[in-house]
Amino acid sequence: MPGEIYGLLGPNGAGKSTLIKIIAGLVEPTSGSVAVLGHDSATDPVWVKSKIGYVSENSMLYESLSPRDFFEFVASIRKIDQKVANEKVGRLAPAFGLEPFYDSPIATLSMGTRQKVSIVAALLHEPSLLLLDEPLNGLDAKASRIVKDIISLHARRSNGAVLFSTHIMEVAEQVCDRIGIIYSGKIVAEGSLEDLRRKASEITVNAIGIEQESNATSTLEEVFLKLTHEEDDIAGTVRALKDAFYVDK
Amino acid sequence: MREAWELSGAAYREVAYRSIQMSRGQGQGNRSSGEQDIEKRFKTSMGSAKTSKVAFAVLGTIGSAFPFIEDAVAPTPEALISGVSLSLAISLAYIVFYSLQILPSFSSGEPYAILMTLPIDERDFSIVATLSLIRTFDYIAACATIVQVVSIWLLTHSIIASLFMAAAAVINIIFAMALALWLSGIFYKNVSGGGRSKRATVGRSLFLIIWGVAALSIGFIFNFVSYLLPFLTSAILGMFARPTGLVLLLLHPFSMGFAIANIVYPSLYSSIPLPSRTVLLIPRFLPPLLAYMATLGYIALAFILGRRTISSVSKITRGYGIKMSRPIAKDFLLKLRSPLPAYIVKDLRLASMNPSLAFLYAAPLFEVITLAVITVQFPVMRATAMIISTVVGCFFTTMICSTLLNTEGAGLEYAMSLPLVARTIIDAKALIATLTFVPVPLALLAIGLSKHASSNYILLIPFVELIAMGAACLGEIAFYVRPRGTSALRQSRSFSLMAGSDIGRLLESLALAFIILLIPIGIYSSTFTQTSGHALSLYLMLLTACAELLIVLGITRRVIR
Repeated sequence: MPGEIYGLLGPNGAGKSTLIKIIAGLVEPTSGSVAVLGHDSATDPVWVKSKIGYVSENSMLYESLSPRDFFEFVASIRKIDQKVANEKVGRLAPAFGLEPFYDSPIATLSMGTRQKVSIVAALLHEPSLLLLDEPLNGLDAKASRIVKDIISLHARRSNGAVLFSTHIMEVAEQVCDRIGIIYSGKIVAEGSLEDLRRKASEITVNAIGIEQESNATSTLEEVFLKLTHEEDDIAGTVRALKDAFYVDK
Repeated sequence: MREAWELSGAAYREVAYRSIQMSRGQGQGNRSSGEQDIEKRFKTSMGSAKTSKVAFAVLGTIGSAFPFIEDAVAPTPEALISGVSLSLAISLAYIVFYSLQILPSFSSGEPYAILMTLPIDERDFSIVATLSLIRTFDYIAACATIVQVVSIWLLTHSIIASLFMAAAAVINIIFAMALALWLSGIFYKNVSGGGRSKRATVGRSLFLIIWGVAALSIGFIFNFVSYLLPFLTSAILGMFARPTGLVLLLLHPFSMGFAIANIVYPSLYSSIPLPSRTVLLIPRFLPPLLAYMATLGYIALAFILGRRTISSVSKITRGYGIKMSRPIAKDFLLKLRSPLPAYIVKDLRLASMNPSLAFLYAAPLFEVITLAVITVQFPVMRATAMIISTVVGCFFTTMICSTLLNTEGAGLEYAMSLPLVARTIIDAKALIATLTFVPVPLALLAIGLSKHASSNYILLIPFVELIAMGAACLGEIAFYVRPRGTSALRQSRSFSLMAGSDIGRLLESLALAFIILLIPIGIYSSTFTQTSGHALSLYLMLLTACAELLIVLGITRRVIR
């Protein structure tokens, strides 16, 4: 929905990146369809891509280009007005501390700096839908805070929608309006944090069959583990590690 | 040492894999790819690395043996000197050139990051790193050395000469290793460092042109050798008439050639008569003395360079590598263009920062040089000579076309997320490739005007072929990226084919390009054969080329959106 921040959570290999790539038109779905702002991405991919800003998980960019060259390329392909582009990049680049790297090849930049370049490029055309795949990967505290604030601003002020995947539960808790939990390629639960807490408590039955009361202070991590049925796996793994490495003396 | 060799294998595989991924456009690898994809990509990359290494080893072996043919046919001291010298020069060139394809990721030091976490002391780490560097060219060096030593044995039956040749080959390899490392350092410091100042841009362009010409020359080394060998052999004979010729004795690899020849022909210098008009009398003991002294000097130099190389390798692999200067941006201004010019500029910029794409800038210059060499043997420019020369230029351009498909690098995935139509990409690459052909008609016009042309009309043949070249480039690229399916999504993703290297598709595309190019030439030839009229033949050739361009444009617009 416009103005909404949707967080996608899931264990490794659940399909978060794949889902985001399908929406971005990078991967063809084996079945089903995707519509962005009422347009089917299979029949009108160019229009859909013109409305999307995409930040990939591992910043696959043109490594031989400098950030300046890269922004020129992206802004030209997106047909952004020169004055608008210069104004935006003039504010975003210093905000992300890109001055020392602006004319250096992207290949020479750290992972975090590349991520910043990717984020700036995604914001230049004020996308209606911002797709962020693990956007805080490799970012320092300052840049992480800026990204979180920009996500919120983009949704509230520009009325754009944001869909991002993350492993960091605290970020999802702080920033997201709605959260979707994906597991083995399927959305197993969806809703606000409160909705998810309720769902988690509904399915929890303790060992002697007594339904537990819903815990209003459960963290998103606890809710997540319950909804993906990974609590038992974790307990088993920790027990096995304990037996293997940490023998009581 | 055995353990060090095994460890160096792991490091070398990482270096080779990363270099191939970088040149193919898959960057550092996509962590979100499935396990099977990664395994497949690894196996394909290592297969490519091995194939490429073996191919270079075979070419290097033949190249190293080739110069000895003259001495095998007619053994003379000068043939032996030029054979040894050229053989060493060729093996050095092949080792340096091949190593430079692999060294990009070596220079970053990243492949050795894991090794640094192991409990290996500094000395052992240096040995492992040096051995991994040697592994980049081990086949080429070993085959070239064996061929050189065996050739000398077969030609001279002298154990001392053969041992001397072995020593010369080892010195040559050390020079090659040091040169490759130094060149990659220069490249990454001055080219990959970036910067938009005029000095940086001009410097980068010049470096790329020289680099590209050298790269293209490697492929034509046999042609150059067959031109050089007789020239060199006769130059050596005349050497003693001029004191300046003694400079050759001091230069590597000629010093080695002279030294070996003196071992095989002990009375070599005393038997050569000095011309009566020699201004400065050269004592007969001087030339061999200079050759042996130079050889000793080169042995010492090889020792120093070898140690320095090991030290550099150790620094690079431990992360103290090449320091790159970062230019600080004075402003953040962007210069925007419409999508097609923006895509062209992007490709040209990618090529300007990547040594494996440097030939793009050098191709026009190299085409002109090649055409000049080819046409020197024609006293009069006839239609046949013009056509042959034009076809040679066409050959280069179609090769450039297919290689442009691999310029995308790791950014291809990002490009697929942009609102880019496949047609823009195809048009951009076809235009770049066609532009590299433009110097061909201009050069042939200049050559035709400077020589006597059998008809003025034949000077226009390459210009007409330029139109066919446009059609061929468009057809070649469009055919390669043609989508398998009609859905718009498949269409928009069709250029994802550029991420891989589908050899079958590539060969089909090349075949299509050659057919498009040869049809107008065939029309000209057949019309001229029947009518003996250049004007009519050219006119029909022009109509054919224009028709081809229109047809290819029409088909690509219909099939690819």
